[in-house]
Amino acid sequence: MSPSPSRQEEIASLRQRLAELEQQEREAQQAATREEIHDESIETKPTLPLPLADYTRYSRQLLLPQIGLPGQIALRNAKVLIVGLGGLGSPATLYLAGAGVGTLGLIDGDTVEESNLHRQIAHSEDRVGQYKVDSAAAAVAGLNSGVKVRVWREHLNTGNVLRVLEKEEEWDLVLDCTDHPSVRYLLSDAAVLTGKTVVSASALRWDGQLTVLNDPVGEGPCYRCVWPNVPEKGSVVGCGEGGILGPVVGVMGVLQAIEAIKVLVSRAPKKEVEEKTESTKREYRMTLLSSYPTLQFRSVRLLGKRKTCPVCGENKTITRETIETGSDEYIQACGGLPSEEGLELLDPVTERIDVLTFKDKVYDSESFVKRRVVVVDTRPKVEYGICKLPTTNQYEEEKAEMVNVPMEELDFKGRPSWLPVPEDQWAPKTDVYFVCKQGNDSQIAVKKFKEASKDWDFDGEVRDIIGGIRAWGREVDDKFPIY
Amino acid sequence: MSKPVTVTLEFSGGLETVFNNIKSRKVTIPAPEDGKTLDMGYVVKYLADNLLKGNRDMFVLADKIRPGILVLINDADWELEGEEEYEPKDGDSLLFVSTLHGG
Repeated sequence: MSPSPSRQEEIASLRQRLAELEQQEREAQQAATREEIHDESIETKPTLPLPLADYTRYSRQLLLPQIGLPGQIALRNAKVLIVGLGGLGSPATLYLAGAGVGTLGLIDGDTVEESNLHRQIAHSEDRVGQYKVDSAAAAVAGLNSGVKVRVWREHLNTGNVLRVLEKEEEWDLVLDCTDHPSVRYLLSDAAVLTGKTVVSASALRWDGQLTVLNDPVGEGPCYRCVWPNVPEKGSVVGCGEGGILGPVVGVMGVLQAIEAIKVLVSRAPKKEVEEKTESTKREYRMTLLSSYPTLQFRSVRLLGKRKTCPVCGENKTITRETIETGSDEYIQACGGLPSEEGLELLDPVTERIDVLTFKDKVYDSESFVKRRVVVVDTRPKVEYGICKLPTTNQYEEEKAEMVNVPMEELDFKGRPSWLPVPEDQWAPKTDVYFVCKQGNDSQIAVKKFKEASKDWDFDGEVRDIIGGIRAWGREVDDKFPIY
Repeated sequence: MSKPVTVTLEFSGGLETVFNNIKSRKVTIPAPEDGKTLDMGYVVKYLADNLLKGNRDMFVLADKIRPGILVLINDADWELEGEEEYEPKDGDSLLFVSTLHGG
């Protein structure tokens, strides 16, 4: 039996409290450890630039000529802000902690969910419900207690970005591990304005992208230089819709850690670093990972900084004030806020149907007039293969016909060939219900169907199911998989 | 009058879903019938008209490449090569990458 909602809330709040106490405890321990190390170094070897134990701990990377002692000192002194503790932020944080980066800042307002665990490997089953930043801080503490961690249990937004980036700590570098274009633009803009380099990565399905932005500061292209046009609303596909393989996003996060370490180490005093990289003409590149069907990396040459860029170009229209005011205009310039809100394309009363009424009408009704019911599921084939609405009622009586027509196959040129109803069988009544995962695509489908069916001899009902199959799982059948 | 060119077409970042899920293939692009130049502007329209299956808006808007798609000619941003005016040569690699946001 699963715990009641109030019990769940209580568990969540206790977990939260536990995480906070653990964090305080860690900070106290870290402070104590730091003092100890400090005392020790004064007593024994006052001239050693690193704590004695660090020489052993980091020996394998100290051996790399490009890192050496100056590089390790640079890492120890470095402060890196990681925005987003999901699939990218998890491995990036762990590897930077492993490498001995002195201070890590973690910002994310999300809590750990079960569906995160396949890829967000800084978290664990026993930390589901905790803030991701607390969970990641616990993972860092377990890996490297010498790393100082600061956490912000909030999402990056126009109200806090300049404060977190500039006032609260002097970050040497920022990692963009976010999952929405609006935050990517915001973070990049703020980083340009506060003079920070950003290591930016993203991933979806089997693919990944990585770029180092504003590097060197003031010279390299920013996110807007690379992607000058913000995506239209509705065209943004996240991991929750498109899917993502854990190791794909994991690799991208690990690559971010590599680039971060390189940037930090490159700022160490040059004369002691053996490798002297004489850059001729600086090239700006993006690394692309494509892992299916053939695994392949490629590095492509980017244009560089754009003169027309509104934040780092010649005619600047995005400034600190623009960000701080958080005006609608600025939000639009970032492509709009991430929203969980559903589409409202149809009239909920006359053009849509809720799952309970749908169940009643289609599966339970003993309607006198036999109506033909066709359910058109517009989800991708793979999702249809995971679970679908029933076609029979509890007495195994056929109540509906079901077809899976993914959105891109919904064709309205002429009478739809995908409807399993011959033209001469429209009458007496055929009702068509569109269903998708959450009830957005299905609205678009109804809209298109209605538009096209004006030319057909069709007088049945056409509706879409509010909330899609998720609502069915929540409200009708508690044994129905929710994915 | 342009001649047909044979290029390697590649799609990434989800764009392959509107091109039969083929990420990479060799394609011969015929010369424009109206005697115009076979340039990238023409290639984009040719792909949208002939090879694209499914939602056209994912690739082009009003026959121009959709915002959020990076076009790479031999692994360099096409803006470095002249964008729509670049005239592809036999053996060129044309890569269309759509922006990823997930993380």
